[in-house]
Amino acid sequence: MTKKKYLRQLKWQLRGMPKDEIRDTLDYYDELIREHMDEGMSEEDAVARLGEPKEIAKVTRDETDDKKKKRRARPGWQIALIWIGSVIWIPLLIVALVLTFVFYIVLWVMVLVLAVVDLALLISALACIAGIVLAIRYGAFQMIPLFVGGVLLTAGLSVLLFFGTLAAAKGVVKLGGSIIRGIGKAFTKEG
Amino acid sequence: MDIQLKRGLLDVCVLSAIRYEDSYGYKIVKDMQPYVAVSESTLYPILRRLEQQKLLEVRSLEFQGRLRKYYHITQAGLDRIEAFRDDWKELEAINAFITRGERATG
Repeated sequence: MTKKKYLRQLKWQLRGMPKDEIRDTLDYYDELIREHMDEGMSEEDAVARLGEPKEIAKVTRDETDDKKKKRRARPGWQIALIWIGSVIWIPLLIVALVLTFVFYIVLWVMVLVLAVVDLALLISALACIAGIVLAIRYGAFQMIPLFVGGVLLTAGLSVLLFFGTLAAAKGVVKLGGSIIRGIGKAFTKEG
Repeated sequence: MDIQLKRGLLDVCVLSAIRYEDSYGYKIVKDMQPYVAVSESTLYPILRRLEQQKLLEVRSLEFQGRLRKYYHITQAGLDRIEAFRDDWKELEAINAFITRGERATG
């Protein structure tokens, strides 16, 4: 069997284990096969002497399982500390969550303000158009340039602000998503 | 030999193999083989266990254009060897008890 094939089989047998552990294991056997080949052994023989990938995977897994079992058992005093500490960290956690929530609401209020200003500009533009119509109707032609200017200015600003508001809203939505994901992650890590 | 006993012994053997000089997987096996029956696939879990227990550290160094992992003993590893030597003295005393009188009767 070639080294490549052997390592591929070993990788398959190690599936489900943490990625870095799989990588370390493959690195180790890769290095060993190379050492033997450097000493003049053929690739075939260097691979053959290692034994079945299945066996190696089993030994490696057993070791990892042992470690996990040990890690699961938290000493009693640690659990006691977490309990006593909860008097402090639960209120702190609530405050942090509330602050995050308030901050997020404030952001939305700012977006809302932008939208209202935009709406006001749009209404002003419509008012200026109405002004033009009325000026023509009542023969107040000297007022037309003023209203035309008004339409251009307010309409231009409102279009610009519209895109600005849209971008801001998108940003806030995105931020909300990452905040929720962040909180979720923190909780799964703790749990 | 009893598996648990051998496991403990192999840990100390591996630590002894890197006691005076950092070494790598292939060489550790080669150095140990005249004294203990150990294969490369049994060595690997031992190295991992010793690393997790912080009795040794892994250092990747380049060798002929590829990376080779060198194992370096820590102070805790050296202490472990010392602890084994103390244990051994105790074992010898126990063995003396177990075998006492054998010479007289046998």
